[in-house]
Amino acid sequence: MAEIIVVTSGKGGVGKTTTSASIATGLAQRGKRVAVVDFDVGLRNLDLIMGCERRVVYDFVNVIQGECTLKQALIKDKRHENLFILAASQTRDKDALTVEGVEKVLDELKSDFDFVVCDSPAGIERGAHLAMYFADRAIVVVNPEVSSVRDSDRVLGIMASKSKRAEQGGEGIVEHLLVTRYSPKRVAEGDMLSIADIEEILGLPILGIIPESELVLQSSNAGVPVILDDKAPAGQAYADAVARLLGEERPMRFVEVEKQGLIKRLFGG
Amino acid sequence: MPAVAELRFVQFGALALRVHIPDPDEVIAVLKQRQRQAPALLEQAPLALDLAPLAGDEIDLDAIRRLLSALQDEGIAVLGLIDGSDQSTLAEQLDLPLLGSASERRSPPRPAAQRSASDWAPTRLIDGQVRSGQQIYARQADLVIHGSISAGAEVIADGSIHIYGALRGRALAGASGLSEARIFIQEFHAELISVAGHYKVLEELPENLRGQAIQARLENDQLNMVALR
Repeated sequence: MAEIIVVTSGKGGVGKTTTSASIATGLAQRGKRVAVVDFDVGLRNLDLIMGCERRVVYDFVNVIQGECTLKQALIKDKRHENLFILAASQTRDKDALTVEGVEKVLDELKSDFDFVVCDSPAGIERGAHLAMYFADRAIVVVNPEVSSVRDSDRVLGIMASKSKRAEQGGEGIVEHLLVTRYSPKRVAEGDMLSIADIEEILGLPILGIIPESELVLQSSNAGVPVILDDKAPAGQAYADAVARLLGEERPMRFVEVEKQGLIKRLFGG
Repeated sequence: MPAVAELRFVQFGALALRVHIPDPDEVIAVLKQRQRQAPALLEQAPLALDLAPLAGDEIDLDAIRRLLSALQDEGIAVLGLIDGSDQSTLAEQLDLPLLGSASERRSPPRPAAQRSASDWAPTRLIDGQVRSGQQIYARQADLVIHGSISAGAEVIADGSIHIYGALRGRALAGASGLSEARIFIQEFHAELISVAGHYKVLEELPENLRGQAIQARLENDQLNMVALR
């Protein structure tokens, strides 16, 4: 039976979709059958970052409304044959998602995949709530700044009370923190919250720390999840996070200020 | 046209939301309009619900519950119900504490000794973190939190509150008037603390108490905070 992982944050622009794309790709690289679902109806982006935007024929809302089968709407990733994308609708709004509709689609996905990664929209309204409602596991993406930490805290609170697992009174959603856009230099200068601060305020273990890097934006624009760039620190950090998600132990990298050598300073890093 | 709802300051420093028509959408619209006029207003003070205008009619509990959850979705935590005629049953049905009267201060609260033992519940114990937007209320009981309380979260008890962790949000003890109630905090970073309606908004934490283990209590109607030693 598949595990449903929601990637959420509360705040927008912190890297949810980038994270969904890289985590899903990373799990696929490790041989898992993965479906990644865009819940951001009306503002779909996941297809762009996965580089399949020109192949979207049917979307999530079409499936919910019975206008096509799930199979027709799943787009096979061009690099991994065990990775599929279910795009959001760009022409509808989030009211097109219903609890019953989402449950039906997720149930069908669960029977066919090892992991279903749900890319949540920002906010705490309907779309975000439905993305987390059926989750077994949550990756809360947080930037090292006060407002992002506060919003993540709120989302964690909602998950603890309003998810299906919480309502059934059993074990809650397994929660992880993923810190993105982390800059050790700016932490040292006091401009950013440190990992210790974030861990202390949110009281959760950290799944990964993704360093701030221009390469992330470049890969997103190119439609290549950054995890595929195994030379880039951000790509390596995502690979570490995927390994930890699968239960492996990996030391945290890219958390110290890098000492720049002369050659690097001359030719750029 | 009668007003849907209005905001007013009441005696113990809280903002009261007086509801004339219990329509969640309309009330939220009124609040949002007020929020635009004075953005900081709702952040500064705790909000109490005043349902007195609805008394006499049959109150639609579902509508009030929807209103409460709509307020919560807006990030506004409701502190309790303003005491008025026949509000105590309502407070119980809604699981909200009953607060002092809006118009005049009630007769001095009953001392603890006079409370009958039967209406006092066992201590409420909470394990784990209380997160932003969450609210915990221990009715007729003490409250023990084994974990931290995030900024924007709120813990309320009719009795005393013990926090084994950091308090970054709000803690309100003696919510129904028990002036002997106290608050014990292992790590003090609170936004607001209150005992029996005497509250302090901590825009600036006293430097000598920041991060310390403290106790807050009423002494001669003054809310005092002292480090535990």
